[in-house]
Amino acid sequence: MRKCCFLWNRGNNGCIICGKILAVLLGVCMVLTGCQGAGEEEKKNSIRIGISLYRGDDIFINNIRNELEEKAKEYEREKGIKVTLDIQDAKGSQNTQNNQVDRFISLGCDVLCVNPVDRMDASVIIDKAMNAEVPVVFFNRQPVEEDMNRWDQLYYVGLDAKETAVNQGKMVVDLYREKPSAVDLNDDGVVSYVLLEGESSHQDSLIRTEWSIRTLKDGGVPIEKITGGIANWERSQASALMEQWLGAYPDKIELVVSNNDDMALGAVDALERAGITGVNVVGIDGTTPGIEAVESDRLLGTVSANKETYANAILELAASRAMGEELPREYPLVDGTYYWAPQEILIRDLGE
Amino acid sequence: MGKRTWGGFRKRISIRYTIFIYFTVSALIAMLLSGEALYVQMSRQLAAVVQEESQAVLSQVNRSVDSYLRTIMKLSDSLYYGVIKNADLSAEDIHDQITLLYDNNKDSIANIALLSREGELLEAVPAARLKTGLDVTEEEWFGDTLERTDNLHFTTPHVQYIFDNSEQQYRWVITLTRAVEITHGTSTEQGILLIDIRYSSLQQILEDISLGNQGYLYMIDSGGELIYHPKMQLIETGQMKENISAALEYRDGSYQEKYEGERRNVSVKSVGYTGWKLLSVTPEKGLSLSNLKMRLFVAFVAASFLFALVLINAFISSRITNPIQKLEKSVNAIEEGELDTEVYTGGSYEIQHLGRSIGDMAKRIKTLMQDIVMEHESKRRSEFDTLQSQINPHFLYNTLDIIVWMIENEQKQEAVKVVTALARFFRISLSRGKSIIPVRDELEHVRNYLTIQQMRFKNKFLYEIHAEEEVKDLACLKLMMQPLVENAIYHGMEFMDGDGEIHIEVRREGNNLLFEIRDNGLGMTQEQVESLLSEKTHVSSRRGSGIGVKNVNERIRLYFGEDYGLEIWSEPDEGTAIRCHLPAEIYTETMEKERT
Amino acid sequence: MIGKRGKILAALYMIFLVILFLMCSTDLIIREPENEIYQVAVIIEAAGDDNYGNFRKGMDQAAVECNADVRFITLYEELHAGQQIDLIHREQQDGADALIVAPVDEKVMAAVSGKQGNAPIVLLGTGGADEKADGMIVVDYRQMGERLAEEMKKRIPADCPVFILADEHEKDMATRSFLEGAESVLEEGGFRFWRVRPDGEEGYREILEAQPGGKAAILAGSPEALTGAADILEKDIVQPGCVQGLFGRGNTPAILDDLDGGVVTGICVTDEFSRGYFSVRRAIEELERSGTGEPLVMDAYYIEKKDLREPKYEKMLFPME
Repeated sequence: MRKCCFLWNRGNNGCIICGKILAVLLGVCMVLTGCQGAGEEEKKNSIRIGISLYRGDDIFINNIRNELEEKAKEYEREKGIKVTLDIQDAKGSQNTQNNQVDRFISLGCDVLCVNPVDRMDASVIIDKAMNAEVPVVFFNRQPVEEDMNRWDQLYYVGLDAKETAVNQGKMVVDLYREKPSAVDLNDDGVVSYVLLEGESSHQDSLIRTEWSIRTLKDGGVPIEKITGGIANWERSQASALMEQWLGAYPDKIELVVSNNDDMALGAVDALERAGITGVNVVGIDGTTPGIEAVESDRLLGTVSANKETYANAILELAASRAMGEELPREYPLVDGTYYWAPQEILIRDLGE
Repeated sequence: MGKRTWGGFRKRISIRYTIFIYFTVSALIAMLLSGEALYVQMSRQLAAVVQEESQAVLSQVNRSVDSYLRTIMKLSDSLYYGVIKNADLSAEDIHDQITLLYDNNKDSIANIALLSREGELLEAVPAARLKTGLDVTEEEWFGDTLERTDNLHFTTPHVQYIFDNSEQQYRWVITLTRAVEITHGTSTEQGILLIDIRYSSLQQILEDISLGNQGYLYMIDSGGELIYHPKMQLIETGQMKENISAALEYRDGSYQEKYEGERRNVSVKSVGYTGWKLLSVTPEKGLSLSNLKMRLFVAFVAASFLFALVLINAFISSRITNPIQKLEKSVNAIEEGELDTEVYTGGSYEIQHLGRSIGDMAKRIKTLMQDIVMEHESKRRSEFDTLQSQINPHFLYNTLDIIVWMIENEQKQEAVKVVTALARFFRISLSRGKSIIPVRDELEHVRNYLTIQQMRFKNKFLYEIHAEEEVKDLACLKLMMQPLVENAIYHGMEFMDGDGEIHIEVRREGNNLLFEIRDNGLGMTQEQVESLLSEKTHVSSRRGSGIGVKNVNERIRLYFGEDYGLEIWSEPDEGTAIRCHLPAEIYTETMEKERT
Repeated sequence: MIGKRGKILAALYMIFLVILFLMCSTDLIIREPENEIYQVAVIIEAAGDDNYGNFRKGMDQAAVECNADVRFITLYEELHAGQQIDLIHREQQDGADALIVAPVDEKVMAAVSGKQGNAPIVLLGTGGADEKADGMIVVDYRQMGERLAEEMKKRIPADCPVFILADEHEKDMATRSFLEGAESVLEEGGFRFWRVRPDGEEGYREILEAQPGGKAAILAGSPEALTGAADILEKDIVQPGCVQGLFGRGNTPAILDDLDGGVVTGICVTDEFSRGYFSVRRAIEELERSGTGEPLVMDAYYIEKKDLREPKYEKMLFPME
């Protein structure tokens, strides 16, 4: 076409000039891409962690969240690396949580910490994370093993449910062995108890219930179940149930076994309202109000997760993945995937 | 100066630019018009499509909301008719049945509760207790529900305040209540079945509906309270406004309204049973195709088209006008005088034809020019001949010989006569270079000639000249008669011994002038007559003037036209008569010039 | 046939076409402004975000609408001015497009007003006179204090002493202004008031029972103080009727629960959701230079238990998400 003719008409000089320009452009492009690639291999100085909680008003989860924020600040100070935490509340909707995960990924989070709403349904989150190559640290609600095995960048931090239940049982067993009348309040040779259970689909409810009761039985405590109910980990529901039971079984209840502290506190609320004292209430979690209640003798005892360690494990694990560093040695992983936070029994001072 | 050059410029615009500009302008106008039409049409279509789509979305959402509410209402029905109505609460525990129904609807239901007429909580799933100090019978909905026993009663969204909940939490719910009959043993009483619907589950249905072009959906109840709005929080706290008062008036359908300076399309669809209305709002300004990039894109397309158009036009117009230009060059060359240039024959048929014609014309011109040159040549030659003949050297030598002889022989009187005749003869021969002379002069000329010839030929013949008076002033060709007389003498009189007769007669016949030269000489055969008139080369007799008869004929025809000329009769041994036909014209001085 | 001039024109026209094309079909020259995500950093004056629940909800809503990525940053230590200034610098350097700051004290305010850096700063002001920044969302705490005191006056007996739960020198600017306003009105009204910090149940019992007539009213200077007092008074440590009223400011869910439960008598609140919402909106406006620059002053409301169910207050205090 004439256009080319125009250029070519400039004679050989034209072609040479064109060629030179092209060469320079190519060179610049290559340098730029090279720089970018090199830049990515440089050390990061800021990381971004996306955290989604299954329900923001779960006290235990709240405690962990506060610890996480503290630990993040400490980490920032120590290592001089800026840590940005994006904390979102899924409000009990897996859909919402999935959307939140989408948002985290699109905002460029380096790692995710997910407290899944529906542990059976974690595969959607895992799919998204795998596609975006973003590691995930699950905590407190454990996805099924098949899902966890799909990728080697999936981790779980939690309490060993069985161990917590055994500890809970042990608490009462030890007390019974020491002083049976402290447990069998009416001395009729039977410890009558009511059971407050968490969500029916939650793995912890089943395990905790099973092992707690079994430990009590195996420990020789003559337990007899009056009734039980599902309070969905919520204090208010437990409170309502307990009130009903107190009305239905007056003076019969000696022990309240609760799958978690919130529900235990709900039972305590009902007891206080009814003006009844002496009934033993045990919980699991070691939430701040729970520990407070143990210290103020309202709860018999609880199995406390060392929340600092728990949160630190989550943070260190996540941060190490985000920075591309090695896994932290203080938190050894079972199967390369699971970290079980240490727990301790907190029991009220019985020196009376 | 400007106007002149413009006028001059316009005249000089070549055909190529004219075609080019007309093509381009008309194509451009066509393009603009069609582009505009397309744009308008597309915009309208787009608007219509968006409208349709938002209608479809609205219907869809309406169905979703409808089905959602229906599910819950059915739940309420199941609870009542399936569980409560037939149960005797003094004997049975319906808690498990309610729990079953609750578990199935956990996502959308927060609480199910059964209240007695006195405000006592009979059943609650999940486990709950009424807030301390709260008397539900004082609540507005309590009384309303008990009054209208056939209806389901929906509240607007509110924070759940009836039941205890944890400190940190509050939940937005919509409360659905109905009056129920509760059986205690033998007595039946009124009570209320309460279902707290999770507002978040309704929100999920209405959220994230993209209506395109910044449109959105919202829902109001029959009293104008907002049930859902994407900016609900801001509207309720007064930071934003929505045209709810108008929305209340609308029935189902589509409307156009103007609110806060913006024109919008609003579609309304009612949700069944509750009296709620779903509205979709689409601002009109979002429906156009224009934003900066789009406009630039249109400009880009137009510019590209223009460029392509220009190229195509240039190509087309050059294809048409190139041959014309080449032809024009050829014509220029011809104008310059290069008649031999190869005229361009190419391009379309018309141009080819023009080219060929111009070529042919150039050739013809060339030929004609050559003919003219040749004619001029021959004219020059015959004039030269004439000139030469006017001098006639042989006749002069011979006559001078005779004079010398006469002088030697002391024939003074004859010598004088001959010399005088010779002088006069030559004077008229020359006649100052004229070709046309009066008849008088021509007769004088031939008389002088005959006088001399008579002397030379020792009176071998006699002659006679007759001319009417009136013809003597007419015009005639110089050296016309003399050659004919010469011919008569040398071909006719030569062998006559004193009996020769030459008669010359000049007379007028109508408009013609007639010269006749008769002799009674030897005569000629027909072939001789013909050869006399047709010989190309003139017969030059050593004794004669050198101009042939043919020449005379030719000269007469040349000067006076084809209608005039010589006629020759001849009969061997009898004689010859030559007639000259001329037009009868009075001799004037200017005649000479006209003729040449 | 085209000639040299024509060829040059054609070449120029081609370049023009290429530029047009780049402008409209690619992003090299004109970038669509809407796709840009703005980085906004919010630096508050506290170490925890207890009081910022509703604020954060408003922030998040605005972030979604304006396409902003909001980072919520708390201090390592409560009310540490130096830390806040450091964090502000850090965020400015770190590529924050805009900053929203709830200043700890005047020093920080001065640093902020000095405007070092290109990122516009939106100040969550407390009504002080010398506040100046690119954008301002102001809650006039002094006025709030005055309002609360006015309402208190209507509800407590004229001779009732008022215990103000605060330190003599409050670090927090909001509390300071609040109490200045409240105390000025109380003084005008002729009330007696003291600033106290009772320690636990015992402490409360002491000061309350020590009063002649056994009546007192309590005014908490900060939301934390109010919550603390409510927790203690919930337990019926003193005779009913002794505490004429517990007043304060702040609208955490705990406070509202206490208000509903009757432990707290009346509070002054602002629309925190809108405050959060408009702080982000302002920041974006400043970035896009479309803002008016006028400071936005939030209204203060006095809320009692009965107001909790008013639709207007209900939505303000319990924002939907």
